[in-house]
Amino acid sequence: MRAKWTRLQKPLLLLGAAVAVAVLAGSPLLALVTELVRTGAESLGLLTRPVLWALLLRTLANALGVTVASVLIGVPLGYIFARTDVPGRRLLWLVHTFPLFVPPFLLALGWFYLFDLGGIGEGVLFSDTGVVVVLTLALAPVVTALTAVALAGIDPSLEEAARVVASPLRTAWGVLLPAARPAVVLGGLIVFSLAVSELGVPLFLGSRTYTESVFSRLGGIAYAPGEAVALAAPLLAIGILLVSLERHFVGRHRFKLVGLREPRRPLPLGKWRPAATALAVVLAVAATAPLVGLAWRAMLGSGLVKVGSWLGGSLWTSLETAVAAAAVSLVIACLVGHALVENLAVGRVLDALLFLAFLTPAAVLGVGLITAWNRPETWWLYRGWAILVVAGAARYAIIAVRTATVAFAQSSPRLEEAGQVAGAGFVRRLFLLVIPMHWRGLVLAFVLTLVFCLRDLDMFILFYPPGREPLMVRIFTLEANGPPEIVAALALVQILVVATVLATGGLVLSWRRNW
Amino acid sequence: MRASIEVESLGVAYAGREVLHDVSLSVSEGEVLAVAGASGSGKSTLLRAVLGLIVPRRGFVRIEGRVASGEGRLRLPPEERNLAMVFQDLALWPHLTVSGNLEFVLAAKGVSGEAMRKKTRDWLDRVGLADRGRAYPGELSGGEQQRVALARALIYEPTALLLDEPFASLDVALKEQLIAFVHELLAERQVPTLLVTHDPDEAGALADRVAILEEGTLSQIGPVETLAPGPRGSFAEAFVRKLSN
Repeated sequence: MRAKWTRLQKPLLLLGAAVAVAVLAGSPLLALVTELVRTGAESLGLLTRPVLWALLLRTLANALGVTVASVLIGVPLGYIFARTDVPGRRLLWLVHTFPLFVPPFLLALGWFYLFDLGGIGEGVLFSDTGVVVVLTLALAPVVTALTAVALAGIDPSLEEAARVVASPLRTAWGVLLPAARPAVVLGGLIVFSLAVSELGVPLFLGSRTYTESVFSRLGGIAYAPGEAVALAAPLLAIGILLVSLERHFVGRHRFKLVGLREPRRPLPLGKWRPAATALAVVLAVAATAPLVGLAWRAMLGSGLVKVGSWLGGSLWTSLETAVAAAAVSLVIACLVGHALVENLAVGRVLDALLFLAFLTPAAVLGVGLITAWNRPETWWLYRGWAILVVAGAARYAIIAVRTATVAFAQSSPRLEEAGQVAGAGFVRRLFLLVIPMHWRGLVLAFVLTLVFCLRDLDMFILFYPPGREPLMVRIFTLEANGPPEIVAALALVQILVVATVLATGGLVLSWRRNW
Repeated sequence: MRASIEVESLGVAYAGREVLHDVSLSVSEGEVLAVAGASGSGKSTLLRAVLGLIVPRRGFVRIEGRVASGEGRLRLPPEERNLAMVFQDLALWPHLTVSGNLEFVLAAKGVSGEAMRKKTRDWLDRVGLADRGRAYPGELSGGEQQRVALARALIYEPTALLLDEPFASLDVALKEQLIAFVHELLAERQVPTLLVTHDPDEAGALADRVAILEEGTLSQIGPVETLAPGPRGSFAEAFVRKLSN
């Protein structure tokens, strides 16, 4: 009996993970496809309008611009932060990365206040160029971080072999960067997807996007949910294309992105050091400049004093949603990540499904969630706070999965095999060996997922339940006609909460054990 | 004498390439069989197949007469084979103390409470680490880590012990000490042992019989003194020559 239960542990838990992923990420995408098939030509007829295709092209062109600019900024910065002797590079990396955890809409708002403060004309900001610049500064840290950790993980002997015969720059160009290519490609794909998804920045800066046309059909005078489903079809195709590109160009390299190697002596940049330092400082400062604008505007009208009464329950909704979604994601991550490290087919399929839910523009997943859950038999979930948790886990569980997988992949498979040979079943191995050994990676997975849920606007705004809007939704809706100093103060609260979560995570991760 | 481990006509393939062909051997009660071979000869693959960590394409693995793997199927998963393994990198769990490492395997076998603690104390005493129970593996010397790995492998009285080049990373002096210690421990416990090595010194000091594995095929098997040197320049030739010296 005991032996039978031991043998069933792994298949049963993986089945549980598969059901969870299917419900969270699979059901909205399936509901969307089913709805498209059901309505058929009627809804797809909408897509014959040239104006929509022009809008889609414009959205994709902007996203491509953001991606190219992010790669151009992120790759050199990743190299500078990870491998060179630029002074204060760790601090600069931190400053450069922080805006990634701030909703891009708040950065756009900060730039607006900053332009206002400087008396600079806002024409440039309220344009497609403005959207591209704001999103680039917000999203480039994705490429920077992935490039940096990939470079830090490269076998030192490869680098040393090149340094014997080549200069640091030639070593970087010829050896290090090609080795980091899968990470750069992954970064580019993520940035492209987030840029296509983005709703808040283009809406605020007055740039029409295809994503906005989906959003506008889910509320207000243009309410037409059937059309929203039809409009989501091309975006779903883009999501599938991005996942295919990731499978092709990144493949199994995605779990080799972090090689937690011993610190190495940085490469001396010599005469290039001042220029590299200047570049890093300028880009780090530029990325965080909007925070100054927000702080200035909040203080100007004593917004910080009045902010408490405007918060309502939105902060609590944001926090409880993010914590619950991150917890669900972490449970899935432990099982799917483990299956991925063991190269099981079920792990690869679940990872692909979750990655599709992440790379597919948020509006598509949002419309899918509405289609799947907005029906009388599931109103108990859809009309309450739980739909936000489902949505958060559906979209961001992949962050936990990928982080956990990278953590699991760092240790020798022999450690778990030793437990298996000694007679420990899957549950015992998972809970007493795998999870405790990789607790740092799992804490990081939880914190990153939590922060991404906290910063979400593009999806939650589509279906937040009445009276339970998250803080980001409240800020966005207030921005149109609320007092600017209150909007800025609420934005600062959002940023402060994210900073506190990250700092707490950092503190926990810095806790040293004897092992 | 009954065979504790029996391998019959075993074939294992990775990505379509066969790395073990038609390997047959057995380890009897109280016997130490060394499997020697050059790097890439399939020694570790053989151990993994015996443990059930990989599924052989052909042939059988029997543990105490019971089919554990056969005809391309895993009949008994690794956790039900009651084998013990000392891995090349030892695979001590870094987040558990020395006592924790030993208690984990006892708990997995259903031993708990005072019985578990007493057995742990006894074994720590037996391997000379009575005062190191609260230390983490990372705080131990290489030799101490080896002793913990041995204690962890033997504490639950396994059907057989498998050693995967356990002395490969040690310096000469420590290696000699530990070989003597293992020899004493195996003689005392009479546990059937399958030792994988490429080192004639280890095989000569510990093994009753030696099997030579070349490119996935068992070229010869027998007591040390009966081994014949292979063709000039082969692994068998170098191994047997050094063994005879």
